[in-house]
Amino acid sequence: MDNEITIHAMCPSEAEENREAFAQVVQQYSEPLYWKIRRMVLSHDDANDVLQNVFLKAWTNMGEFKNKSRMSTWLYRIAVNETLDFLRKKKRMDSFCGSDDASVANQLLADEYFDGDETQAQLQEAIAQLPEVQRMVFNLRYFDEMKYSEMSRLLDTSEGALKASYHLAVKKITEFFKQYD
Amino acid sequence: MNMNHEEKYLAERFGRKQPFKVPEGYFEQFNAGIMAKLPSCSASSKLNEGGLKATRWQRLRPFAAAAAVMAMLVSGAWLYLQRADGRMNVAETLAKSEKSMSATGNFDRAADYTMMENEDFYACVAEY
Repeated sequence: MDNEITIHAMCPSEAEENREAFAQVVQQYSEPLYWKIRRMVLSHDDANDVLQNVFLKAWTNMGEFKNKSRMSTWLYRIAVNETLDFLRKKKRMDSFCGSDDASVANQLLADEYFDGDETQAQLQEAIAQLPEVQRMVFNLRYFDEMKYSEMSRLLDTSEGALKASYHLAVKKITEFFKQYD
Repeated sequence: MNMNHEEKYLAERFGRKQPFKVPEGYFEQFNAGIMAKLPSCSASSKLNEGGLKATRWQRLRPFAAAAAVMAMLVSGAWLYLQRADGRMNVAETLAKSEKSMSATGNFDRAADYTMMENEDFYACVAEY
């Protein structure tokens, strides 16, 4: 679980000490955060950008982390918000620019950092069609096997709503494939 | 984890493996890189503005400002009323002095009526 690293609200004389503690936070959480982000944004470059923003935001707002929640929950929450903001901005840009309609599956298969086959690419295509929050719920439950209680704290949504969202997502993805079978 | 049949279908067909990879040494480079990008003392001073607990004076400042404004309003009202009272006092004094002047005026008219020299008339009246 969390080996909670204590970081106090900073004053200039403590800045160096807290920088070292923050380095440990980065070391501990960069990889799990990255994968959560990557499953949503799909591209490595985009995931890298979002991950940087997450840690910059965490560093800048460290004074507001008052140990009311676990460090992991706080960081994941920042990551969720940054990811959703990124996706919404990208959607607006794509619709504004009238961007290229290459399917998600084709884009992934052309991506050097995609390690799957065509079946996997099609699954990602189906997931990408879900609304962003539902997509997040599906990824957290299906790939991370996250408990609903933990997801509820992370997304600040009731467990009942999350269960309903997940089952609906599973149904949509299943129907996506059954129509092609 | 309890699965319904649809979820089972997905798990059996696709598995739960992540089909993504990262460049070699990415996380090590990321960790070093992000620390170099973090702002230094300006971040902590930003935290002092917004994030740290406010001092007692900072908490009381809005109330002090409100109290100062109230004090000014009350003082201004008091001064205004004082001056207004002053004007009334002057008016009263003027009215009194007009009365006394009219009494003197009646005396002078009486003196004229008796066709005496004013000084003589006053002298007569003074004996009584």
